[in-house]
Amino acid sequence: MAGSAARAQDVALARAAALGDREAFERIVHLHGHGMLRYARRLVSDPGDAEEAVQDAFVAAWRSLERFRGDSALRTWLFGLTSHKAVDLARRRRPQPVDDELAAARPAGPASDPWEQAGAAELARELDRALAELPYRQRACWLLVELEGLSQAEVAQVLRIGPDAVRGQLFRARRALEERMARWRP
Amino acid sequence: MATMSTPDGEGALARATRAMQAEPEPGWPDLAERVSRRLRTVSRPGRPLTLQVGDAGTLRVDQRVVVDTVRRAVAQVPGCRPVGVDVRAQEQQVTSLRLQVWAGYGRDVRAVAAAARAAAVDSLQDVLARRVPVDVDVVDVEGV
Repeated sequence: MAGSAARAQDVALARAAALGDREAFERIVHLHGHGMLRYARRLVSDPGDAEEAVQDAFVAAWRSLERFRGDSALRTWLFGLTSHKAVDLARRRRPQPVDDELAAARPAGPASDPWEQAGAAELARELDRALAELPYRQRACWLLVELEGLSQAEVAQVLRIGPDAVRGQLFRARRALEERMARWRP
Repeated sequence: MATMSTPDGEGALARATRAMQAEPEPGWPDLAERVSRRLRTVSRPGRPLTLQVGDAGTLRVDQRVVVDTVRRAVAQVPGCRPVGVDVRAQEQQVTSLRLQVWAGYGRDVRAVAAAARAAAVDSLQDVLARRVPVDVDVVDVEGV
């Protein structure tokens, strides 16, 4: 579905759900839940935490839909809820680094033979490993822009940081990931 | 820094990103089911209303019940989608209701508004056993 049509559908579903239409909210869950889980699973290391974050985000959304005024896209709002729930969970489990120093300190793994096993699934796993090495904000910015298709302005809303910060985090994430994935060149 | 490319010229990062986007999330079907089950147990905080139900006495009801009743009734009107229901109450009594709807593209907007109002008034009468004034705003037109 085209962007504007998808957004109009989101607004209609959100308004219906805000009035108590549970079927409309179920459709919201099915439209956005997959992406929210994909995002959460790469924000937190534990798959159970990721699923809990998504579930908690939907419960929070259902309870507070009346306060969703449509100033931001529904998708942006839902990803914001997911981010906050994921961070809350991660902080409860262990300290969560949010600065950029850790990534630079991590040693690169041994270069592997690139194309021999460079099927799509292997490439995706390699990217997963590379993402796991990024600090939280870089990872979140990259995932939201490159994987989920949010604009940088929307990412700023999701993560509650300034647009300049998003641009900087994204630049560093892209550079780190390109360097890391470069090992796949024959 | 050089961008590394696959033999077909596409960057490894771009290719990996596409691969990641195309992959299903293995836990999603089960999680979707759990989310649905959980949501069925979650209620929203509402506003209590004490309704005078004709001569039958009073009835305590959450405002959401009134909103949901009206929403369901108005949603049955062809070419009409309810997008806002504002219950106005004084001393916990419903005094009026403001309804916002989207009308289907090409529909007679006034006819849609009249039908929506009638549906809302009738549904309120079923709940409250009296007629309540309803204002209708057609706030947008869409392909309902």
